[in-house]
Amino acid sequence: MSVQEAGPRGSAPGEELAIQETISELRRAARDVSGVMVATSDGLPMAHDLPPENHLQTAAMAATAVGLSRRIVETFGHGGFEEAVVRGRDGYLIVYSAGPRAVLAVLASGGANLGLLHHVARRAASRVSDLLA
Amino acid sequence: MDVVTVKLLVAGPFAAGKTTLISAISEIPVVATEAEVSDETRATKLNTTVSMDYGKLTVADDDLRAELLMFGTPGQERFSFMWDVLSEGMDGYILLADLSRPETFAEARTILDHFRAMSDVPFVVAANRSSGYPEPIAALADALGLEEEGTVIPCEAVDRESAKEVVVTMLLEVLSREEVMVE
Repeated sequence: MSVQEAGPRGSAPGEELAIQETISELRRAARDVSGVMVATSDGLPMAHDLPPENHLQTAAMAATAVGLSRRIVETFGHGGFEEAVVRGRDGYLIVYSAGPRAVLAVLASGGANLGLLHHVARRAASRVSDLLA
Repeated sequence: MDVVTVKLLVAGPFAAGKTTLISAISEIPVVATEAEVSDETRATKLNTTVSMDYGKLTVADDDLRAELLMFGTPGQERFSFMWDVLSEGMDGYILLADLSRPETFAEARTILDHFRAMSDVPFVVAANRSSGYPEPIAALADALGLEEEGTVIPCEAVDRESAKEVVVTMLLEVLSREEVMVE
């Protein structure tokens, strides 16, 4: 399942289709992923493959995590924000910078191979960033 | 001299002036988390808080020094989980509304109801951009379900003295009603 949001989100329909394809590729490449959200930096869904009841809050949380993380890396002079890992006993939420306008959030099970996940998700985030540039 | 540390939240609808108010009075550079607005509300404002603002103000008289830690919340309801996160341990909250946009009063009511249901710490209501809008203060108080319009403080969030008056009023409410940590 992949859902495309209607409404003005600052991207053309072609871009949103390409973002959905990027989400599908990520899912195929990393089996432990249970959900993917691409949201605007201000917390509105652009494209995702989450159940409908979760997607609005997930988009807002992804933007909150990235906004706070950006501020943290700036404060400590650590350069541009790249990613933040939130790990619970049973799962991960990882947020990646996808350019100035978007964020990529990936939900994964606790047993996920984090190295592989970062590899494919960073590539996906970079592609989203390029699509929206 | 007694020293108190008071945690205040600044809540209110999108574009009410929360970040502006904290920035007007903070004695430290405000920790802001802003992102570009991507939807139709961009017509109102280009940037929006996505996580929190943080600022600090120290006020003192002969007997007491109060350090006010001010936390600004994101305004849109999709960020309401941050209202809950930031309100942990708060001593009081300021509900800021934009008096020049009565169409936002219902949203202000939703936010006030959320906080009142969550906590019984004192709050004050501040009506931003009150210059030139003397009449709707009663309308705002009414929309918020407040019995007396006198409980709404008119203010200009961009103005340091005006913004300070709001937080000092909040501080006095906290000191009169709450046990705060006195070091």
